[in-house]
Amino acid sequence: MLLKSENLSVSYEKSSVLQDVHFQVEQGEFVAVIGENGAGKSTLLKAISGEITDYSGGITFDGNPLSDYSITALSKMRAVMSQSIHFQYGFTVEEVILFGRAPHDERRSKSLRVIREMMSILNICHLQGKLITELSGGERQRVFLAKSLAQIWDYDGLYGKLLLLDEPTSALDLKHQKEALFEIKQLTNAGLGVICITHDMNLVTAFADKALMLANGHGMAFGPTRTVMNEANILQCFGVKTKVVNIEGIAHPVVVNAA
Amino acid sequence: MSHASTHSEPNLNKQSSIGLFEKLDEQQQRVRALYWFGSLFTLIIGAIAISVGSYGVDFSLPMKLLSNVFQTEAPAQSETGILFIGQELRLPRVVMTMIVGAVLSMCGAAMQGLFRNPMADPSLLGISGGAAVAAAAVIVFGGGIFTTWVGAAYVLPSAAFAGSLLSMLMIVRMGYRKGYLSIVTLLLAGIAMNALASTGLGYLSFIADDSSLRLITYWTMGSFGGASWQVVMALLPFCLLSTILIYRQREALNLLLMGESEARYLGINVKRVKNTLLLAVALGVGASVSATGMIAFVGLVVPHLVRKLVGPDYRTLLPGSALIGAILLTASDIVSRLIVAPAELPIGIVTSAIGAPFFLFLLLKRGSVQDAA
Repeated sequence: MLLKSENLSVSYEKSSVLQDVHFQVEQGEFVAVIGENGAGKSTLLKAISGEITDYSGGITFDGNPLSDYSITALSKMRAVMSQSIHFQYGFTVEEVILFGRAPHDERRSKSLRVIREMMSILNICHLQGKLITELSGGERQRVFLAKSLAQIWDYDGLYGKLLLLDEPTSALDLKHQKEALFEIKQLTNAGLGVICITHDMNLVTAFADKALMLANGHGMAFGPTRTVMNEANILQCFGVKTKVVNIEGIAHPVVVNAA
Repeated sequence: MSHASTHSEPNLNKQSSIGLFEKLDEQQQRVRALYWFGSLFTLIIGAIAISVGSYGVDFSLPMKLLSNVFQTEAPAQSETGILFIGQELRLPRVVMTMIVGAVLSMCGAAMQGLFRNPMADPSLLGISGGAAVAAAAVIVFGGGIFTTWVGAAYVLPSAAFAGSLLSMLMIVRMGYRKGYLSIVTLLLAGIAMNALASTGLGYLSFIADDSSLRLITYWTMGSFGGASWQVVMALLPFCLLSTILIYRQREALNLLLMGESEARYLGINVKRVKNTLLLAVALGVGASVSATGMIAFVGLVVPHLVRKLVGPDYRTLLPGSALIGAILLTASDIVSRLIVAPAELPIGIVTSAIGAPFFLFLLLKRGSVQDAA
């Protein structure tokens, strides 16, 4: 068990944002968190990333309460890939990915070795000398992914580490969306756990092993993607009539708007 | 890793590692050039500043001062005057100018990182103003404290430190709304802070006697005229502590450029870093103001220049800013002494004459003061 959330509740100024949310992530599992805007997805991400500390209920990482980890220890075990990072100054791609190694107390040569490996895994070696401010949206996203992976990479690679994705595809066109997620999905084979916040239902059916559906701060459904992503659940969660259909030539079910 | 590889990967990899070293070398060369030329220019400009003054121009003075240190016999009668001027007036003035230039530039760079905005500057945000009011208040109300106590030299920098810390905390308090820092609010808070400071200074000059009034006037325009070894020694511990505290946060400052959440994800205790930087900036600005008065725009212009030269990485930005700051402020001081000789133009006027148009240029370039956070 990599990450487990039990009875997780968060409230801001007395109004409850999350209530009794249960779910868990195993090593090598891709879990999608889906729900309407304001359903509590971002709050959930903040709680499991350690950014919010005043929650009730339990979050455990590797069997230990999240609050037992120091901020540095946590930073070597989980990385958060934000929607976008704004850079005012032109750092090179290599410098940006090197920022990911900041938690590791190591020689620069070792850091450089790690980031070079990340760049070759993600096929962005050709970008390394370029300025981050001059890249396209898709390229930036890859660089940020490389930075996040560099952050949690150690001698065992990515095994038992956790990657949190906040709307990873919102800034990307269709081609790059597919590529980025395919890349991440591949990494779960090496034991990386992924929690992906999204509102793209077809992303969930295509890539997630499990799905957590949030509605008004409640965990409406959690389980294998195929059982969670059904028409009744989607109607209840999003208030939209859909059909979940299997199309020949596509390996996963597809959610189409039926209204 | 076996996955996600393409047939061309080994080739790509090889090319890129060569590229990596080239890139690093070029960057390292730039940094090294900045350090070498910076140090060289610091010495040259320092020597010029020692040689030039209202008592007379003597370009052999730096060498004479140096040889005088190693000489046991008394210097020639005709030399004692200029040697005294060099040793007790010009040299401490140059040292003080360089310290203040270095510290103000580092503080500016630190504030720009802290507030995530290249427009942040101790003088624009009223931090220097707060320090000046506190120092002026000590002068007006302090009475005999300066003559009676051994620790007197440290009273002024301490008071100025308290003043800058207080105004800094107020600025931060006003600038943050619901945990979100808005540069517009921040600059507006700076305007309010500066207005408060000038009101305070106005009131203090109104009730001050003649000698205090002169000092207060000198605070509002900045001057190196009060330099002495005593002032340098009073300034030094504050400035040393400030630079050390700031330099130790160089990695954190880099990560903060990506935002507070990102820095936190990467294991930075953001709250502690921010508090350390607030304290360090207040120390540096307070001490500088207590010695030289308000010198505007140094913290704005210098880091910007250094970013253009060697990039935004705080590991080189901080020492680079210290060097360039020391050089530029010493150069400005030489200008201020020569332009209306034998009188002296207040240094704050010289730096503002350069800095204010630069600030306007930054504003125009951005189009508007939009938040970047």
